[in-house]
Amino acid sequence: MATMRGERRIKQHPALGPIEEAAEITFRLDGETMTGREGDTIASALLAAGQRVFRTMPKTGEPRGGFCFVGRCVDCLMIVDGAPSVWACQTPLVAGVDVRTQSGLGDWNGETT
Amino acid sequence: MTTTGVLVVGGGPAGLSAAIAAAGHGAATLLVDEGQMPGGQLTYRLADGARETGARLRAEASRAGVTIESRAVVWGLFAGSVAAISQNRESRNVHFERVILATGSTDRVVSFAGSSLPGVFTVRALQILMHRHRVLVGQRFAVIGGDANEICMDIEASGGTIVVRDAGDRPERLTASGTGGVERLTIDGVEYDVDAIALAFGHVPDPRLAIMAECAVEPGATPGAFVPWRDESLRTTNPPIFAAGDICGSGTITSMVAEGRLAGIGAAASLGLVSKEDLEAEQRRFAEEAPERLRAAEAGQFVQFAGQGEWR
Repeated sequence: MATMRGERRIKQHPALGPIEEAAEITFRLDGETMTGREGDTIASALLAAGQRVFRTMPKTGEPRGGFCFVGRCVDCLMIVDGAPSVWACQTPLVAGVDVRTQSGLGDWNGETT
Repeated sequence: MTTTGVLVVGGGPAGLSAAIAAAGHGAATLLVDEGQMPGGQLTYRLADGARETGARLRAEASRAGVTIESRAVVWGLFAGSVAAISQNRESRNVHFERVILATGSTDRVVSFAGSSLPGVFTVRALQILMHRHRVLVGQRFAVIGGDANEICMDIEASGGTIVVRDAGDRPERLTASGTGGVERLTIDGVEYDVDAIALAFGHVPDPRLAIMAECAVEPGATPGAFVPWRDESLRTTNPPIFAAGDICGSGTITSMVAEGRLAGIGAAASLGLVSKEDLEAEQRRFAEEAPERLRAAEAGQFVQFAGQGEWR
């Protein structure tokens, strides 16, 4: 499927230089332990780990991943610490955060669509 | 409710520059920006000295005494000169004397079959991922769109390969496909093995606050764009409100900085903080630096959306 695990960090860059040191942050995606870096958003950490699917569409079940990365579209909406439809691209990664791929519109106070 | 002299909405090159100019002339200036730190495109582009300009403007804003609120969004402008600001899941109101709208633009999106698959990103998304987070989302990129030179350089500098480019002016020729994400792009029946697609179709101004504040807007150069009309000091048709930067159409970083400065001085002048002579000197300077940015109003040319009440 689309979960191609692996390191996708740019370690050396001609203009930016070597990647800066940053603390490793552990979090969970659908129950699986993942690691990201200090300074990541949830979305950047997921993409760095090769996770491309963030949610699925309500009617068709088609997969969606990040798209605009500026909090303007809806492709990165995920369930974060139980809260549905959170912009993963705008949410800083914090240790221990529980992230789940969202099916459809998510569960809003027990009402699922 | 607190009051500020000049509220600058958006902390990109135009907004920072406007805030520096306004504060530099003595206006109590509040800059509200939704990013972690101000700079907007200057925090993720590499071209045109973006990063250096961002660092310089942030330092100047600090020296000029601009109050900066980050991770905050001005979500409304209301009659009575009130702005609503949301931050940390709460909203509060601020009274302003002047507003400078510098909300910039978003990437223009053109769809084609399969373009909603995971692995398809706007140029800005890729720049944020590569340059702020050091993430390369794929190895084999397709770049679609006519505004693609910068992103192609960025992708290659980050270690990615450009497999195919297409102007995207006839999207019906394109089909992206794959299981759970992009795996290939077919153009006119020819299949390319790609794992990421960049959409590079330029930018569309973000006029929402201008429209909400009943500023007259007119169609811009980009399809689907509406830009606020402005006079020679970048004042909109709603007297307390000025506008500068990408919100009025895409431009170079240099012209955004120049435009922000003019708007900041224009706003300060309207508050009596800048002499007529100094304002005119600034206008002459701007006309030399970025003449293409000024447009004169002509009767009947603009579209104004229905309003909600008194503004003064």
